[in-house]
Parts: sequence; C-alpha cells; structure tokens
Amino acid sequence: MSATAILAALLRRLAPAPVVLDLGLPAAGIFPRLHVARCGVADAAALPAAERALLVGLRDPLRGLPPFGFDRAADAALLAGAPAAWGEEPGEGRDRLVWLPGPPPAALAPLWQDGAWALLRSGPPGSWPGPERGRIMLLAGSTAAVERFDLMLPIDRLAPVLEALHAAAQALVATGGRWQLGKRVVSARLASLTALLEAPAALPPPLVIPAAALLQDGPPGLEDGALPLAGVARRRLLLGGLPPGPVRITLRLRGVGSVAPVLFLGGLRQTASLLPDPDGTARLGAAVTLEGTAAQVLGLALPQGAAPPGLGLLGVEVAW
Amino acid sequence: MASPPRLTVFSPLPPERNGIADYAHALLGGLAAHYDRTAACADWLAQAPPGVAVVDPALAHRGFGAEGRVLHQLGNNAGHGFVLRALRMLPGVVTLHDPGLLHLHEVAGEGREAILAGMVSALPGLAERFGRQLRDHGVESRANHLLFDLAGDVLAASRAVVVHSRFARDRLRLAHGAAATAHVAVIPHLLPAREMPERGAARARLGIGEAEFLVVTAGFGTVPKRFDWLIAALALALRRGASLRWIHAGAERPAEFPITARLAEHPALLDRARVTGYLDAAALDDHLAAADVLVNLRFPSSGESSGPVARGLAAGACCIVSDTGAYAELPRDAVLHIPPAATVPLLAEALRALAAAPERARAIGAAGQRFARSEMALPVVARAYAEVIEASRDRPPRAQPPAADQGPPLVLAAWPVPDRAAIAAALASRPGPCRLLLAVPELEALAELSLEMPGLLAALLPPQARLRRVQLQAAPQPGLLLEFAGG
Repeated sequence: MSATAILAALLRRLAPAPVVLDLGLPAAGIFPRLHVARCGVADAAALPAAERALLVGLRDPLRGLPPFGFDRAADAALLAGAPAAWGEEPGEGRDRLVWLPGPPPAALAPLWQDGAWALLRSGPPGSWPGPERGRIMLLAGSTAAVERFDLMLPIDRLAPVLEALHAAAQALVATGGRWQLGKRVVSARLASLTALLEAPAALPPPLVIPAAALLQDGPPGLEDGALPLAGVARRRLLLGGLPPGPVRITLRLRGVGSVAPVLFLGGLRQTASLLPDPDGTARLGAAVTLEGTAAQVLGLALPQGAAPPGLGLLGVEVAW
Repeated sequence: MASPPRLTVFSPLPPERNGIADYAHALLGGLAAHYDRTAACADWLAQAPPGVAVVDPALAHRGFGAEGRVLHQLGNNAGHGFVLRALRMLPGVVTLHDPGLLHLHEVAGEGREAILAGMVSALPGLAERFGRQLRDHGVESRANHLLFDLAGDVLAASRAVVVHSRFARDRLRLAHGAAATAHVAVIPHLLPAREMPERGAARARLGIGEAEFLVVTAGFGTVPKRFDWLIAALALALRRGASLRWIHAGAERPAEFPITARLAEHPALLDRARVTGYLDAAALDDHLAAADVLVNLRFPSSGESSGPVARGLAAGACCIVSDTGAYAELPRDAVLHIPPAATVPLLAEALRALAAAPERARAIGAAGQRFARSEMALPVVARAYAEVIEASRDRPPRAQPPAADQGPPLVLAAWPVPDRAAIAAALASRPGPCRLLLAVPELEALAELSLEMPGLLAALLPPQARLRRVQLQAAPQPGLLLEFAGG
C-alpha cells in the first residue's frame, strides 16, 4: 500500500471528508484514490509544451471543464470559493484540501486566505497568506519506504484534524495488516502522525473509478452514468497517479458490438481480452505494468465505423 | 553490445491513402539498422513495419528519455496537422516532402492570423502586397501557394530539415535566406525495400498484352500534374498514328481536374484509357511494372518529389517528367525531360516515337533503374538520414518562436472608438513579443464594436503586426487580448 493510498484512505475516513483540488498533474497526485472536485496543475505555463497540449485537451465528463490551470474563468470561480466550482451544495461548508506538487504558488493565495488545507511533500515552509498555519507532518507508506508529507492547515484546526486523522488511522489499521501508528503534538503549530505498514494483510482492494470521475478528451456528457463512445474513433482517459508495477486494468463497457475496442496505455497498444457479463455489459481487461511517475493515460480506439450506437464506458477498475 | 538509440518518427502511416505514409513505412523499415524506432501516428491503429510500435502522438513525448531522437515527416495536406503541431513542441529533424505548406496551414486549423504571420517571413515585400488580399478581403488565391511557403516556422523549430531535391532547398533558401536554411540537407526520395514485380507477370495480372504500348500515370489527379496537357498530348499522339493505351493508376479528384469528363471530349482516347481509382501499394506496383512509359508532369512545381516516379524508375519504366523543379535534377539519361513551355506537342511526339520503337523506352528505363538502385536504395537513404539525425543532435532549433511576453499587457481603450494610430504606435514601442489589451467597459461593448466594424482586427492592426493569438478576456479588465510575435 503506497503512501498516497494510505493518505487517501485516511482523508476518506474523515467525517465529512474534505473536498479536494488535486494539482499534482502531470505527475501522480491523489486522484483517482480520492474523489476530487478538480484535477489540474499549479502552473500550466511551466509545463513542457507537449504535456501542456495533452492536458489542455482533457475535459471533465460532467461539466466539460479542462483541468485546473487551463481555463481562467473556471479557475477563478474555484479560487473565489464558489461552492458549485468545488462540487458542493451551497452552505455545505466542507473543508477544502489542495494537493500540491511543491511550494504554494502565489496564484492560490485566495484559497489559503479562505482557510483551505494544503497537502504536499515535506519541504521548505513556503509562504501561506491568510490565517496562521499549523503543520501536521505525515509519515506514511511502509516501514521500508517512509514518505513524508506536510498537511498545512489553519492553526485552530490542527488539534481536531489531528485527532480525526488518528481515529481514521486506527480504523484503517483495523482492516488488517501490521502497522506502526502514532501521533505526537509538539506545539500548537506542529504535530505529527505516523501510519506505516509493516506487513500487509492482503493485496489492497481494487480501485474502482466511475466514468463520471475520468477526465477524457471527448465532448462532455454521460448517458445513464456511462461515457458515450458511439461513433468514436479514439478516446483518451486520464487514469491518474498509480504506483509503478504490475496491475490488471479492466474497463467496464456496455453496448459492445462485434468488434472489441482496442486498449492503449501510455499511448501504446495493449493485449486485452473482452469478457461478456450476464447483465449485458462486458469487461475489457489487460494485464499491464505501470511505469513512470506521470499520471497514467488510457486510450480506446475503434476501427472506423466499428463503434456501435450504444457503446459506453461505465468505469475502470485497477486491481493489484 | 549497446542497444541502438531510440528514434520517434511522427508521420501518417498506411492505411492512410497518402504517399508520405507509404514513404514513412518504408523509411521506418530501413532505419532498423540504426535505431530502436517508434512511430507516432494520429491513427493509433496504423500499420507499422515489424518491430516498430505505434504510439499516440499526444503521449509520445513521455517515452523519449534524455537521448530521444525525433524525426517528423511533413507533407502539405490535412493528414499532417498532428505532425505540424508536434514539431513545434518536440524539435527534431523534419522531412519537408513539399516545401510549400500553405495548404496544410489552411486545412489544419492554423487560423488566418497564423497564416498571415507566416506570410510575413516570405520574400521581402510579398506579404505587404499579396498578403493584404487575404488579410483584407479573404482572398485565398492559387498564386499564394507559390508565393508563400509558410515554412518559416518549420525551419526555425527544427534541428535539421531534409528535402528531396536541390530545387526544394534552393527555393527555401531564396525565401528564407542562407542562415535560416543552413541546416537543410538533400536526401533523394527512396525506393521501398520490396522488389518490383516482373513486367510480364504484372501485365498478365492486369490483362495487358505483351505487345501493347502502355502509358501509365499515378497518384492523385491533382491540378499541377497537368492532366489537361497529358490528355491533349495523348490525343495528338493517337491522331499521329501512335498505338498506345493509357491507365491512370490512382484516384481522380474531379474537383481539381475532371479526368473522366475531359476524356469524354476525346472519343479516340476514351477507348484506350482507364482510371483505376485509388490502388494499394501492390496494385500500384503492378501498374508501374507493366508500364512502358510512366508520365509524371508537374507545373507549376513547388519542389515536391514523387514516390511513383521512384518506383517507376525501380521498375525500369521509361519515366517522362517535366523539366522543372526537382524533376529537372534527375539525370538526363535516366529519364526523358519535357520542357513545360511546349509540353503538349513535345510529349505527343515523344510518346509517338517511343510507341513506334519500344526498345528505346526500355533503354531509357534501364538507365533510370540503374540510377534508382544506386542513389535511391533504402539502405543508402536510411544511412543518409542517420547521418543527418546524429549531426543535428547538438544543434538547437535555430530560433524557437519567441515566447509570449508574460508581463502586463499594453492597454488601449477601444471604446467607443479604437485609435488605429495609437495601436500602431504602441506596437512600434514594443518590437519584441508583446500583448495588447483592447479594453472595453464590458464585453457587450466589444460585441457591438465588432458589429460596427466587420473585420475589426484587420482594420485596426498595421500590416506588419504578427498576431499570434486572440483571446477574449473578461477579467480583470474586459477586452480583447492580442498576443504578437516579435517583429
């Protein structure tokens, strides 16, 4: 279980879980392990041109928004704290968390002023406008590979959030495996939480990503929860950050005709098999080896004219 | 033994009906001796040679590594839009199969502003006089394709550029200067690795008698291939007693030139002519191998080369070409050159004479075959490519398109009346890349302004302004944000 997976599991167990802006792209962030309001980049102009061109073409299937960093109007709404931009109901008032790949960029200052949390790998303290910040150092991963993160949050939230995270860690430990778990309060500004896996109980459960959560490069819109693929020749899907290693990726499809879509990972064709299910859906699966640190991108290609009218993607499952 | 370096080739590939797709397929095969190859193709299901993976071009950059080499195969049609975009982001070696790229820019969604900016880098004075017709009146003339090659950006963004003829290189040099084209190399067109069919067997498959004198043309029926001249010459040759048969081994493009309709005006020729439609490589090779004569006219020429001529030479067909452009560089004893100024009578006479003495056609074809096998053989061409690619590695792209000025933009009020002189003065004060905000009190005012002044930007901007991007800005100050390249 990777450090990112542990952090996601802890955050998911908070009640209520914070809404997340994942700015980890193009490298692995916390998506797809945690439902995020939006993915994106902190500084699109700093990306290599080819990576920028790849990301700017992706769209949220529900609202048609590109990743954060590529649409100033949509970004402004999110920075201004508009509940809809964060996927919240008005008055819901959930905590907001930003996953950062590095020090906080100045453009995100409105978020810190509004009290948003930031989760980033441990490093220099950075500049945090707004309410005074406390830091919870998070040690996560395995005892063989400890990864250090900082959760930066308004100082008055440090104590209750630390307690909530500790309770979440205890709940996680109860699911199995042998863990090192601990918390320590150094001062009102500084605390630490340790959640290290010494020996896993079993393989982690599969990761299930619904179609609605997949950024993709087609027009927006879902039909009964499925991403329509009728008439599509090619479609890219952002799978997000996953640790390197062997996995089985399965796409759940409906309306598959006689010609199976061809599966791509990282732009390269994969050998996949199509298995029909009794409910009329089908699973397109491939055993693959994930490589690199960049967010994974799946592709589906159909020979011209081969996509039947009802073809749709219901979701993706990643199993270890 | 060290593994060969990795090379990523951005190109259309079969089954796309495109001569450059066939070329790239053959070249990828030939480069096996030098590189671990990957092909980046917009059609992810395209056909690559054995051992070559096809990768989504949008993700190809992730697999480059520090030592990655890049080769772009660029032609002047819509199938190369993704190559044009990729070469700007991933500089490498570019093969310019056609040094004129205006059509590609028109059909690949480059936008009029980008085309006008490209025109500015043509010969001094041309854009001011001729580019204005496009800018002010939207006139897209055929002459523009000869006057403006739109290759400036490609030259600037490339570590090296390969063309197939000295004519193409010299044409680029004339338009863009010696410094901007110092990295242009000439590598002849290639012969695919596959053997051409034997003449008798090909004729048998096509139902053509051994004694028939067969004239073949090949490829898409485009305007510069001068089917008007060819049909007139064939008809004249028949009237003068020649016994021959003509097959156009390729697809007709009636919108460009209606071959079938024009044939109907020549009943004597109609009985002896046929248009096959698009052929796959094997069928095309059969026609080229069966030919006594392969005619490939080109006027005007923008320096393009012909894959069918290379294959016709390899098959031993007597090739008749226009004495212009890249074709003029083919050895005088290897092909028959016809001056463009009097093509119809001279071509008619050549066909009549060769039909009367087919052994003369075979002698010319044999010389052409020797030339092709020595100069255009795939291993020779692949080695030349490897030399260009390796030599280019330490050479940065000559000049990246200047980055946009990310400082605060110039701001000029555009409401209620924009001041053209003030805009010109403001741009003159910033000779490098810059941004200019034409500010309005609210976006509705901009909409009103554009209705009052159709072609707003064309009316406001000075002719030399190199507009790269236009963006509607709502905040912090509403208006039209214009991004300019340096002068």
